Amino acid sequence: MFSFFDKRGKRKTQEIFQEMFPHEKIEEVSESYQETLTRLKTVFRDNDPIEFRELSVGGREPMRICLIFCDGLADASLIDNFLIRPLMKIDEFELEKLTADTLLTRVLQINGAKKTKDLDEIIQNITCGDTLLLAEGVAESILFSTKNFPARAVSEPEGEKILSGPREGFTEVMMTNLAMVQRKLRSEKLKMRYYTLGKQTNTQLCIAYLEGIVDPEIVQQLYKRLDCIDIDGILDANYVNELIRDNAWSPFRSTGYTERPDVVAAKLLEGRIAVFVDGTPVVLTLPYLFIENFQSNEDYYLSFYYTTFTRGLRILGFFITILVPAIYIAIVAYHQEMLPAPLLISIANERQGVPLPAALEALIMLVVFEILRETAIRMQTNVGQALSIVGALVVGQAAVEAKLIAAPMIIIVAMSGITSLLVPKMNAPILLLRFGILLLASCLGFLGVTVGVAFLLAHVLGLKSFGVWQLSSGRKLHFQGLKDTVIRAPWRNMILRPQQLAKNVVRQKDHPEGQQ
Amino acid sequence: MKHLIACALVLLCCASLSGCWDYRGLDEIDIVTGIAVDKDTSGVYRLTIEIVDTHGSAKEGDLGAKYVEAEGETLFNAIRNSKKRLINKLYGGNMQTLVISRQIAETEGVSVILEEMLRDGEPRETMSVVISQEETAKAILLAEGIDSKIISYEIHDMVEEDNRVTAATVNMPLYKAYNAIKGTGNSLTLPAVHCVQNDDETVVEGNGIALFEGDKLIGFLPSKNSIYYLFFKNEVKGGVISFPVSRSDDSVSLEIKDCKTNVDVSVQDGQAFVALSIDIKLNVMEIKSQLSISQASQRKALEQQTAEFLQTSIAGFFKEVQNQNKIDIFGFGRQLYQKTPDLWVAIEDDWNELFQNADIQIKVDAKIQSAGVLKDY
Repeated sequence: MFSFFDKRGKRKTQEIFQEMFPHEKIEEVSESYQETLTRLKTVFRDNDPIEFRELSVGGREPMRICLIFCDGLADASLIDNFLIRPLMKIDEFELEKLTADTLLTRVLQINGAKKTKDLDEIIQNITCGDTLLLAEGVAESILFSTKNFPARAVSEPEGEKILSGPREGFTEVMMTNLAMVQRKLRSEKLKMRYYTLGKQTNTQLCIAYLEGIVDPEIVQQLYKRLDCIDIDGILDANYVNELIRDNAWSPFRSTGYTERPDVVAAKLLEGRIAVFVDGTPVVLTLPYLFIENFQSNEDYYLSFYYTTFTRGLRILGFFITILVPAIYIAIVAYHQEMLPAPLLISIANERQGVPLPAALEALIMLVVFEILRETAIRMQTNVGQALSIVGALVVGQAAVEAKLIAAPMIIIVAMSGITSLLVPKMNAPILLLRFGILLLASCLGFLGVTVGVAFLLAHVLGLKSFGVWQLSSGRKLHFQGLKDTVIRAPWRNMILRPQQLAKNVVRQKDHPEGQQ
Repeated sequence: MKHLIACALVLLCCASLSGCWDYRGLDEIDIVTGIAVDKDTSGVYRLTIEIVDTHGSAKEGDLGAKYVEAEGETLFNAIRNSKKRLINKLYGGNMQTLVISRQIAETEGVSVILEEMLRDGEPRETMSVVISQEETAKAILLAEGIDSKIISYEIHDMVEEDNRVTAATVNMPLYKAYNAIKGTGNSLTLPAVHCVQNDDETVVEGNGIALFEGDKLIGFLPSKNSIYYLFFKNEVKGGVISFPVSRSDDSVSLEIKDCKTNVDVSVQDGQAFVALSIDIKLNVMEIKSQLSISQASQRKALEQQTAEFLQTSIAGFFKEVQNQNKIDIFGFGRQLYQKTPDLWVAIEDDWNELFQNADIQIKVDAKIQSAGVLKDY
């Protein structure tokens, strides 16, 4: 439906970019020490945290050496002890000829080191904490890995709390995040490939997947889409999500997101790909199936009876939250005969004397609820009490007693609002659908509700995520494929992986069904 | 863009489709719960329309009812005339009871009224139709309810439940009543209600069955006979059978737990036969006699007596109908018509005479399911 917009918009912006910024060539640093130093000093002018530590080493014929690093990001004690100290005692090593190689192999005592001539690479690495060594008479410059910057401790993610199961969560440092996943999947099949995005931020990405399980075509597709990205900065995983997703205008998600290493490990095991983004604890997983909106990692950690039930509740909650206000309006304003007589009478009694029409009332109350919800997220924690009093008492009770709002409306809005919290991954579509279907219902009654749901179904059935249909399986329906959808079958019975995603679908090979 | 415009156009089309489902706020309608239809001597319909009084407070208990009276040359005229006294439109989607006065039922028949109600889009086909045995139908609606202040709902529930517990009247929703008039070989029966005094209040009570020929009222079955009528219709789901045993002042009361009946009507050589077989299960409730039902033989004897009592009383009732009402109130003709349509066409005109001379054969299989004895078993 929206593809038309999509194509034209993209072509235009790309053309503009081409005109404004013709592609730059890779710039190499010169072999002359002085020239390179001046070049770097111009690059980092007006940039005080960048330190140029110039040394003069060697007894008889002193040689000039310069260490360039970013104060605060680079580890000062590393530089002191393992770069400057050995350099100062360079005479003790009795080198015949000073080259980059001899420096690396005999003098300097840091494990991460790399020779380079690429100016872009040098700048990038210095700005993230590495140290550059320039030596007079040495053709190449050397980059040392001396990163050491403040990071948050590993803790349980606020947004994805669970009752039982692993409690660690990702942090803003990608290397820590990768380590957490690596620790869960101790296999040489786990591949992690770096990728850099963002012209200004030079954010590091890591694309992880399990070789042999993942569908290589999807990996290829992901690289193709990443290659198309041309943006100045990536500050969160959602930047990437929106730039690589299918159906750019759809409110439904096209990639999954999580802050939990156990979730990422599970998704990798099902043949998905994870995209780590440095600087954010959120990790994207793809492709994304529609049912993932209703899944929770806890579903697999608790009894399958219990979690089948709770998953059912989430699916029910989705329909309740988008349909209940609309159905209420359709009944109260158009199809009164749908209600049993006693209920009709008591609602009619409550509505007596309320000045607004029911549809407008519903719209206002839903907006009020969204306002309360939004303030609850943004406010400082110590004014929480005031908000709940205003929210519950003033808006709820007082409005009903003053006959501004009918009591059933409060119940409907509360129900719709509370159930929306059951499916936090669908907050955007829920918001749109709830208001959209409500508007349809208030001008067309149940016909409007039906039309709304039909459009919704048509839209969701048309959604794809990296070439995979999100809702329809696109193939013959297998009972195996249903075992982790509306129900959560016991692990013993989930022999195959989701068939749409993985190349190798067999999860339990010893099982007779797995061998087929 | 084209797609968007197309979608918008489709939605616009929907707006014009909504037609008669006009937006109708709940506070802009008066919810009609029941209508009583009377006709005065000058031939004008007088309606009493019961509507819910939504202005009261539901917290103080039940909401009360209000009454709107209206008159008009025709029924529909009268309904429309009522609007002259009201701000809001009348809304009949939750109407439960239609009370028709016996005068209308006797003189002009009920089919016009039933047809009007069915033709109107709003009223439900499942609402109860009752015949008032009082002077007017209005008197029924103005009576007090015991459980509910809205008498129409009380009458509706009463008629529905009555049939299951006491077998004192028929349960005849609007659509069935209309089918009974129009269906070949069928005959209409409707529940009859009257007013009685209860704790200083006038309340409504079900009182037997109103019998019709075509759509005209021809008489009433007293409520004690209703159960026998219901046996023929296989509609007995509960009720009480009491009869004297051994000596005349001794008696037992049995509660019907389950009852299945089967009627077979046939005509041979100008003689109609009705074969009724009843399979009935009972609980003993009350015994005023020396019967010791702990004995299997005595229980057997009680079952025997029950069967005999039912046989004689149903046969007596059948005779009474043949001699007094003189028409087939059971709808046997319908069965004949369905079984042997050709035969029915031939005898249709003489059916009432055939019915009056019909022979009946009754077979009762009574089973005492539970004697409910506490001691002495």
